[in-house]
Amino acid sequence: MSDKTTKIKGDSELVTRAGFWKRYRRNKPAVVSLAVMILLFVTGIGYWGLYELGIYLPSNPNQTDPPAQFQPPSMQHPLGTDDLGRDVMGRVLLGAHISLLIGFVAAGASIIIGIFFGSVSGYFGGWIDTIIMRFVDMMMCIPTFFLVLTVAALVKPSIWYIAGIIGVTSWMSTSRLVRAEFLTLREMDYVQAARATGVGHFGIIFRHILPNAMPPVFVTAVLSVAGAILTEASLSFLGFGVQPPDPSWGNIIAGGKQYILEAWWLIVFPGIAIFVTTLAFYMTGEGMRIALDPKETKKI
Amino acid sequence: MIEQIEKPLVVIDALRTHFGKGKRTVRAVDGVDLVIPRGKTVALVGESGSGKTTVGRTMLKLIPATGGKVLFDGYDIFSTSGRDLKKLRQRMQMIFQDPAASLNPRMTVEKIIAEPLKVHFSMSRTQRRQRVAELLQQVELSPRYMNRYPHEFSGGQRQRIGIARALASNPDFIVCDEPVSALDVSIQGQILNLLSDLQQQLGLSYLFVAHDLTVVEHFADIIAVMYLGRIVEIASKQVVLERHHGREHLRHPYSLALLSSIPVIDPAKRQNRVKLTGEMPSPLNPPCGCAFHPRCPLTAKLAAEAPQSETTEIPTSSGTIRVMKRCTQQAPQLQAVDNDAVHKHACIMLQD
Repeated sequence: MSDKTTKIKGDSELVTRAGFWKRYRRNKPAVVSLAVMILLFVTGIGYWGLYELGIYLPSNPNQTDPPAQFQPPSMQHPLGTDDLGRDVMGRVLLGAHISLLIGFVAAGASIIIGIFFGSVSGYFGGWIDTIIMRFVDMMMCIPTFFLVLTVAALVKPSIWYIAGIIGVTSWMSTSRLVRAEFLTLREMDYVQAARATGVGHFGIIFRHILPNAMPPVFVTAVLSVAGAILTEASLSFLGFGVQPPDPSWGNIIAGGKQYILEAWWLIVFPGIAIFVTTLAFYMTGEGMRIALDPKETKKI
Repeated sequence: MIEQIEKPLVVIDALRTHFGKGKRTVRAVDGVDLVIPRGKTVALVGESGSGKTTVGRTMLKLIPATGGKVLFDGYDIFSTSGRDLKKLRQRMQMIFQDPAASLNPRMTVEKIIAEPLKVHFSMSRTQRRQRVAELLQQVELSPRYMNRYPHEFSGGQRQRIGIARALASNPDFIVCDEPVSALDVSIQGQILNLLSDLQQQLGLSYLFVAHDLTVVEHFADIIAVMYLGRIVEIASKQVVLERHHGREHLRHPYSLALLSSIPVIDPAKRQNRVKLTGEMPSPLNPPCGCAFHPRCPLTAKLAAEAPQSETTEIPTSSGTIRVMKRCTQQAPQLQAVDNDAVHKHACIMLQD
């Protein structure tokens, strides 16, 4: 929360920042998820930092070592080694920063695009609204994943491209949410007061309506990070995402799928990483949503 | 001494505001004429749904008008836009009914009050802070509260913040949209006194919207009673206050019904209450002729004595009632009462 108070839709009930954390804390699974999320963040970025500094734990995840291929989990290689003798733990940990980076950049892009279209649509209404919303409907009709696949096949798949592609194909639900918030909030008296004062459209949208529309958008943002991480994993698994030797959870699994019977650890550990990460983001988002909704008091 | 005829500050001419199109048109305001003299308070009184709030909001161009004109100091508000409109907006402000909803919950008091200053004047940050502190003092709040958020205040304090915001741009005219109806009775008096003090200090003119005659009868100079989008009676404060001396006062049967709905504390003074039956008809499909005829006690009383040929039966939610034919046929117009310059009413039965 960027501000001290939070207003929920048309309700006059206020959830203050302190109140938000109090309510959030009561939801134990959400607290655990948040802790896991922070842990993932710290380890993912921390491991990447060490890697860039040349400190490899336990050994260089990009260093092939053919004699050591297909070693099961051991003290030396806690999560085993892959077909080229690379340390799986190192690869999974190095893959974390790529997944998180793509997740956040893609979610950020999708939220920004969604806010832009949603606020313009909801604030101005009329034919502008009709055009934008029909465009959203159109985008929603396109099977996103195949669109992403097609575009990813056409451009050189770098991390930024992948994040960008995921972002521009996943903003539609955010824009609908933001539009709905704007439709409610633009009728509020404080917006009318701003209009009566002569504040311009820009000022009304960004100073008066958007800050009050943000709480549910934050929730969507956290949820869409999870979605973006999953999409990236799927893309990389199919070979259109992050390209080896750069490790990503998706392409580690892709590389290990042919050895699934001999070397289960090649698939299981990155799989667990994807599962735990997306679950943590989803549950954190859900916990935020419940904490922000004054009608949900009994369930917490 | 030469009598100086001053131009009124606001002239509302045949103002109409309709919502929707075709058969689903809500005629919220349907032909309102009103003149607001400089430095005076004009009150608009009526039941909920009579269109009084819509008049205020349409005047400030918050709702598009369907027809008519509003002249503010000679400028036609509806044909103004851009920079000229901004200049006009600086001179006309609004105070809202619900002080909780009219303050942005994510802005501090300082930001809320400073916004009109930012929009209309070029001031440095310190100057603005200084002015916000002055404005807070003017509405009898401590400048210490500047960095607090609206939810930290009581209803009365929030309304004072709303007033300070309205004053910030140095307006000449303020639309007060039921500014006290959401407040405790004890606070209502304070806010009314504050508004009246500010009017004297700053020479403000008010359009004061209320649903209760008691709130406005001491406060307003001119009182207009609205029913279903039209003004049915308009009178000066003196006329309304006459009732306390048991003399003739308001005439229109709807105004009398409003007056008699005011609780009287002294049992000896309790008169026969005029009770209105039914609800206000839908502005989607207002009754023909005089919009008040299905609920009007006067026409019912007259119809009971008049010959059959002059009356007609109309269906209402509680069976049929007999009313005067003319009330259902002829749309009433405001006509002056006696030789009073202000007092007018729109009742055909009384005008004969």
